[in-house]
Amino acid sequence: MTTTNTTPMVRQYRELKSQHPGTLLFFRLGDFYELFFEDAVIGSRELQITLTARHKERDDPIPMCGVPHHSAANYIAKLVRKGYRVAICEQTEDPSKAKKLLRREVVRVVTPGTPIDPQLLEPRASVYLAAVCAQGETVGAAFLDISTGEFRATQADGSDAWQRIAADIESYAPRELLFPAALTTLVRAGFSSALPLGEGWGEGAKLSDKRRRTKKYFSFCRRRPSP
Amino acid sequence: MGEGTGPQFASPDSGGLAATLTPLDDWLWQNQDCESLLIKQFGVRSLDGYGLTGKAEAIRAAGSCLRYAQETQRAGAAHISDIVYFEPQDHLVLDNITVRNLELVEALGGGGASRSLLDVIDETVTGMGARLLRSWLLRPSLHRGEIEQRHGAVAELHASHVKRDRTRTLLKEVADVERLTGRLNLGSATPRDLVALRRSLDQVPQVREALANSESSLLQVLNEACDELADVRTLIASAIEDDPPAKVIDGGVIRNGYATELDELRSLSRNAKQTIAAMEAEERSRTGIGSLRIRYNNVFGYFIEVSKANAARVPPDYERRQTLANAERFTTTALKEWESKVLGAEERILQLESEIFGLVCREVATETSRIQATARALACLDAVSSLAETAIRRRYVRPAIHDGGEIEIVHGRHPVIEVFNEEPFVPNSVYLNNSTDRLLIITGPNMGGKSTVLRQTGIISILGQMGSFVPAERARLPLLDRVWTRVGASDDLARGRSTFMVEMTETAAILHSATPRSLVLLDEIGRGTATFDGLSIAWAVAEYLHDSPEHAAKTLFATHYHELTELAERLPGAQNYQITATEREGEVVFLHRLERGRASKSYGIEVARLAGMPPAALTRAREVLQRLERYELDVFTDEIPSEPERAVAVGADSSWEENRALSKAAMRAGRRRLAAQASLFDLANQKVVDELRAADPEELSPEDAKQLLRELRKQIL
Repeated sequence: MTTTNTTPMVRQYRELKSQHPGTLLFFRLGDFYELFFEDAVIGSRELQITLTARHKERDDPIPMCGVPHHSAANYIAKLVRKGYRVAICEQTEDPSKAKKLLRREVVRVVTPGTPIDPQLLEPRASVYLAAVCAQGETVGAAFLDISTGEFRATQADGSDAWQRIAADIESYAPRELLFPAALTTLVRAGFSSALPLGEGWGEGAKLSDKRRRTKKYFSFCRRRPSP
Repeated sequence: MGEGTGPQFASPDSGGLAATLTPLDDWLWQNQDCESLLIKQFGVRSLDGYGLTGKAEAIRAAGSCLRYAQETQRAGAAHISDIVYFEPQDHLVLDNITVRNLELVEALGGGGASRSLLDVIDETVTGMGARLLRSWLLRPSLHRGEIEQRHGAVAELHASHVKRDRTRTLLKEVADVERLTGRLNLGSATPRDLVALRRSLDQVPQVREALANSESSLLQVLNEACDELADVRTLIASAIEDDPPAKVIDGGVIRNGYATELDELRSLSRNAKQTIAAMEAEERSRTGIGSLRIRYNNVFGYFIEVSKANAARVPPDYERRQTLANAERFTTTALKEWESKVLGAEERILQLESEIFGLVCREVATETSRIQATARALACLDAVSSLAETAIRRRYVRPAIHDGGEIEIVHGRHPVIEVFNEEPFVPNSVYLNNSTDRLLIITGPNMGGKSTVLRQTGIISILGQMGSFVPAERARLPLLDRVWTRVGASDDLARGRSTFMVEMTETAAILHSATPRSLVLLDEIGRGTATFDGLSIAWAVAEYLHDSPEHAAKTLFATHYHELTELAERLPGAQNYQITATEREGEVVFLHRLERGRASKSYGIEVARLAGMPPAALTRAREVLQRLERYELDVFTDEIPSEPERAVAVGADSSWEENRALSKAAMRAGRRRLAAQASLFDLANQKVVDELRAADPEELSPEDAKQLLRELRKQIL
């Protein structure tokens, strides 16, 4: 979706968005955090806030919705509880020293597996981030509770390795699972053999060449909601 | 549909995983990078000390977790200071279905009345103790030494109410130090967090005193693991006010006397009032205007106010600021200078407090490892004292853990039902081993308590293995590797998918993975499909579990299929039990008692009568029942058990006595009862026979006779 009238801010937004695929980007604009394009559609629906548009006067207005800065934490928590990852982008320059376009940076990404906000934590239960990977018949997994620093890892070998690791993953019940993109099909299969799968995993591993080329130290793939 | 639906998670009903899946680029999973990242984080030379030598996949998974955590927080997260390697399933394995069916951490069926096991046994007073107890429950230990250590600590606290009460009183003053330390290292700790930390650490010397002279090795270990952290306590006590506001930007956080610059600025600000009064007095005497006032508002700041009448008498150095109806407001250079110093002080104070607070946080954070070690010890102490408290309140006893295969529970009780039941709970004893009593078939009326016996056996085994005392008079428990609980499909049509399919999938998992060290609890398996299918499957499942050398788990099978009692006659390792009920004055009374033997009737019709079914339907039901009982189904007459094969399925730990008992049982199974051979076909045809018998040829016209013949022929199967 390209337009001939892309403003510098929209270009800035797109650049930040491409560096953090698979997240909803909370873009700081003055006293508000704004969501744009498809993020706005999702945000409006999930947060029950009005979907409006920017540049309505033009041919291709940009879908937009926003929340005030001082109450953003509640909205972010709501999205993360539903399973989304939220990237928080701040203005890192003083607006009074205004040049045309303020500098902006993503300062934090809030994900279901890495909650710090007490709203996302239960006092009497741990919240785990898990990772799983494999090489041949060896499968490894790790579990991290970022709120306390509890950190554990395990590894299994043999033809039933996936099943055994899957049973441990089920027991820790992580809120988020990391795995190499190449293992996507295997992860799904590995889980369905040990556990009956419900409908729809709600994710997809679509690695675009552009992301690969941006050479960011860290990036993760877009999640594709299931049909 | 695409974008419209948002993230979908696996339905919790299916027992699957409900998590956000986050694929990461493949190149981020390099072993070298992951290993270096972990080494750097822990400040060590190699990961050998954590048992990760040669565990390349574990290292890759761990490294990726750590990197992801750091990247999302944009912070170092120094509180992630070590890692524990464990062998997969190095604990008693409980899958989600079992956790749900036994209501371990969550009650099934909503409503405030329902309680889980955790609700009953959780008497912890700290969040970290609660989390630890929950993890012990979901992943009970497989190591006898560890279990007995916990039992020992619980026993000591159970025996001494002074020690127990003292410990719990002290622990009530302890905050969630684990999470606090996390916030400290992630830069989100508040002033109240630091004070809470200090108050928590203040309890440690007294905790150690309470634990001194403990006999239990675990309590001794916990005592030593508690670091009194006097340096951290002193730092916080000297720097932070006892009762600070929630946010550091509100000020009033740093104590007086901690930082000189701060003290001076505060003095300046505090003395503002006196200074104002003094300045006011001075200006009054200088100008001779007795009603002169120095006031403040948000718009102008400080100003000198005189009445209109006196306005002409002000000295020349007064600058007019504002004219009002009855007054004039002025300022002077001196006033302006003083004002900027004071207001500047306010701002500077807040800034300084913020800086100092940050420094204190960072300094406390350098002691994170020591704080975490103490926190873990306190959490463990909270968990064992919670178990001791529960054992006292609910009259639990210490189980004996042994290396053999027997489960022996004398007068066991269901720990949740006994608390919330209106009537007194009827205890029941259960005995299982890996030879003569490895498959218990339990029959009896519905609502009679079959399910309860099953569940309490599972729950008592789990409680024992997590380190808790158990609700029984006595218990001897083995080390189980797995507890499986499967409940037959219910009539929940709202689910929309084949619940019987789910039941079969779940049951299949057992047949693949159970071992002689597992405990299998089957509750009405086979119910969700046609009678013969269900019965056949139930029969085959029970036999499979009994016979298979690799999968011969100890099994409790509660069933409405009376036919399964036949199994105990033929299988040397199977026993019949029944839940008893009795009739008193024409009413069915459930005794809830488990006894040997097979139930003599199913009481189904009696229950129907109690439920209010119309008498006509009940009469008819009794008629049909009589017929069915007369032509008792025996589909198994062709099957002759092969004694040598049967005897093979014995646990490796069987003794000479067990083998002998087994051969005897095998001989008994050889003497089968021969029943009348009948089939469902005969039963249907019986109806034709009856009609034929009832027809009188003398009364029928030839046409009617032909008609009757035609109809009867149609009915014959």
